[in-house]
Amino acid sequence: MRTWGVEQRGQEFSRFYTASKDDCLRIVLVNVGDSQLAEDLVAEAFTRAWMSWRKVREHPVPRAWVVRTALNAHVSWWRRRRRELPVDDPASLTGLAGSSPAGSADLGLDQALVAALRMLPLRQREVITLRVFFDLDTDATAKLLGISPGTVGTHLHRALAALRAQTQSFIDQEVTS
Amino acid sequence: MNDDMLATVRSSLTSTKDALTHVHMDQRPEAIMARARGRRLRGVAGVGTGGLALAIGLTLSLSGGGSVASGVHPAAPRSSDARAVHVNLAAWSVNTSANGLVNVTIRELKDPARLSQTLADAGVPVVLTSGHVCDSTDDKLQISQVVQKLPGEGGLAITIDPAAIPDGAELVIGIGTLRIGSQEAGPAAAFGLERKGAPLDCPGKPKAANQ
Repeated sequence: MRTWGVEQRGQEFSRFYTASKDDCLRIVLVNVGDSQLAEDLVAEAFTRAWMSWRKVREHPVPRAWVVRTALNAHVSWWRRRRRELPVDDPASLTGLAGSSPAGSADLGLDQALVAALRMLPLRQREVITLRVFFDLDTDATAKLLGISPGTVGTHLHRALAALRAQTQSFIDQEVTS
Repeated sequence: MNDDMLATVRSSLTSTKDALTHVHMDQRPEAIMARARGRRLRGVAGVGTGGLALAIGLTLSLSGGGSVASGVHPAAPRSSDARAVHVNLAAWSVNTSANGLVNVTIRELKDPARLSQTLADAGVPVVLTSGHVCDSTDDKLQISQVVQKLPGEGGLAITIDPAAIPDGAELVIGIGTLRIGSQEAGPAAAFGLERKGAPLDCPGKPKAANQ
């Protein structure tokens, strides 16, 4: 009986993984900009999802749980790196292509918005991601993030202001053209 | 106002995501479940600590700002001893070409000891360092003849010409985080040439081990 339960859960997780892995990967890739890193983060998030499958399967939006876990894992990864890899002489460094936001001058609106998104603090990026990609309303976003709806509104307002400021020229262009 | 902006952002980011039709997660569900099973068996509290498996190699190998090749400082063959090398991992790739150049792509510094050894096998005497960038005291001008950065996305792509490394010198690669003002702009690498066996000159830090 127990074996059957494990098998059933495994099949259920497999179906969930197969149906949602590519979408989650693409959303995380938009957020982090590095395909290999995105795949590592999403694999880690799904691993955690399987380890907590009883909880995750009951989640109202399991895909959002996975994406949020991946984004959090990214921050944990960066914090470790920042502690371990302080560098005093940026002038001597060559940035990894695709990991830093490009200047928005010669980019289209979509690219400029993506670059600006990657510059947002984690919480603001989470709110934007949940609102945009999962179409969650304020209350659902608040519940998923464990914060109040008012705080979600504040983060959303700040995030949109930052995105607007970073992409103002494109927005104006779209309006006037 | 916010609603308009949110609608613009939604339209833009969704179309960006939807355009990534070529991006697929290749791992099978069995691999994910096996990874979780292995973690449970090892009793690793990775979930609770928020740690990432992919960071583990980095943590173990790069702490202290020392040489990641510490104790694994490969006795690199000169280019004449080099053999064809084609190692392609998720984190990095090293491929030799017929013209003697070594093509390297670093997406993430995982298993740096193996990367050092692989480069050594390809005829590149190398020391990988982390933290403060270790400067070279001489041969500085020749680094541009040894290392060329290639355009492209998805990692740091370089070509190394082992034949251009002076006798008795080794390539020093420092991996760090690029900061512009207070902003973190991403992982980065710096390159230098150093006399083999000489202590590395790492400003503001103890000399990196060069054993």
